[in-house]
Amino acid sequence: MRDLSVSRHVTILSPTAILGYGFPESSFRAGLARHPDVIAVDAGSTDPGPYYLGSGESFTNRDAVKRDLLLMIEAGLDLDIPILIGTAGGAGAEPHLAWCLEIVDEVLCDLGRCARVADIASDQNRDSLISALHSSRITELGPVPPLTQDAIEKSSHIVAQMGVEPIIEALDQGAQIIVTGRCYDPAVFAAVPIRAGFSEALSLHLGKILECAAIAATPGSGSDCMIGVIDESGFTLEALSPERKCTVTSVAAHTLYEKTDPRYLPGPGGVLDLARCHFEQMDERRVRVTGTQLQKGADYTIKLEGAQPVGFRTISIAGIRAPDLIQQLDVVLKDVRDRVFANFESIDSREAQLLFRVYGQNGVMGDLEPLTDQRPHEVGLVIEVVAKTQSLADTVCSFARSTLLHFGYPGRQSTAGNLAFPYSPSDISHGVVYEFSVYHLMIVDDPVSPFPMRIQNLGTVR
Amino acid sequence: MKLSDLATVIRSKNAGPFELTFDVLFANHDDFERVVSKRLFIVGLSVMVRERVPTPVGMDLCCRRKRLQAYLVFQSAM
Repeated sequence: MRDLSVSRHVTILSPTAILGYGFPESSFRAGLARHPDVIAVDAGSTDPGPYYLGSGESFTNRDAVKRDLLLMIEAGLDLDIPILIGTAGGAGAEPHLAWCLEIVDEVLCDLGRCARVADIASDQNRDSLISALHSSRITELGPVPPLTQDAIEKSSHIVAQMGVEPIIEALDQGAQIIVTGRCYDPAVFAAVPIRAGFSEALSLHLGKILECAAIAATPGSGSDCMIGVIDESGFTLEALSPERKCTVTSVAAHTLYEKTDPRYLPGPGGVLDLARCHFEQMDERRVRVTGTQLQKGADYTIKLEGAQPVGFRTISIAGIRAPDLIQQLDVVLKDVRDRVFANFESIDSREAQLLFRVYGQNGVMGDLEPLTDQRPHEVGLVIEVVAKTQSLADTVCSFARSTLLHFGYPGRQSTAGNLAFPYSPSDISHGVVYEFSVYHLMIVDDPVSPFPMRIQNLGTVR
Repeated sequence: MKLSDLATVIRSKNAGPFELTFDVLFANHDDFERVVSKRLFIVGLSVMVRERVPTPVGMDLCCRRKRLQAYLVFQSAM
């Protein structure tokens, strides 16, 4: 591999916003022609909700992930540059990491190649977490309640976001492919330039933009490639498909993307300060960024994420078109709810929760919907039940559905059913429901030891 | 005039599991000042809290109460 410590710039290829979301091969080849020093991709997000961290499943499709990895690994090995994968399997817990490593091994075998592969775990030991909790090393992150020992014990997986340090450690040990557990999104993009001595602030800011690939271009896409070049005073971004370009607005907008504070972007071990940040249009397609600063804290903190099972869900989907029913739907749904719980007196209402999502009325925004006096001509109804057991959720959902189907509301002229079902069967048993139970910050002694690494040869020759 | 006539980017996006952000970006300083100085809208970035609602069986991502957590105006040296 090229010695980047004597290089005046580092080029980073980001093929796609999430591993498995795909990318046009033409864009990827255009990126390879720029002689990248690393191919990095973010594979994770909490956006798909707590289920995936809780269950250990991936929110991305295995075949789609394999397709992306095949192109990336082949190109990376051919160019003799590292291939870095952040937050394997979407959530980065042990089963996600194992799932991604298995695909990497399969890809290497398909290619007839062998590679030195590092994997870095991010699962946190429950006993250590409880002891950190009792020694006041864990604090809330944003609007969440204080962490409890109960939440730690009931969570099925608890991971922590690693920074660049464990990844740099793996690079030092000669890993060609690095697959990480839960990882700060920018870290896989920033690790190579930081290791080569470039500014941590600029490297992390570049990583923050590259982790979503061409979402930071216009027109934006989560399934197209982006390239970033960092030098001693700034970095330059360019979308690799000719139909997209980076503009000051698209790059500045992405810098603030999904951040609660537009000036300070906190991450493991420090906070990016964008106050002196400058965005400059280099030409029609490229934007240069300078001036980003990093404030390092006295303590090194990492973000913890955990999910715990809270019940089982069953849903039923139906359409309503009768104007007289839509007119009084809120009242009718309340009556249906009362009738359901009156019918099953043995069911403790704390054991089953019945929810109606009324699309066309306030299904998207719920109580936050400002338009409350408008009646649509049709609504889509999702009846949702979350209960202690799947059987109880099935029972309550089924009864709510059948009650509403033949409910005799005031003034009703129809004597037939009230609901139009798109599917038979109408009810769907949806399985375990999880919630985010841990979303906290933890102070650690050093940034590497919470993330154990293993290096092995994978592929054809063991 | 509508905000969409002046702004180049208007979006809402969750920031992690418990927070919702609204970003409004303008193409030039004049448009930015025009809206910010007159407080015509909550500009820059505001946060609506998605509070976790403790329920018997739990509920993920449920909006129950709205609360403005922060109102921030950010000017980059664009």
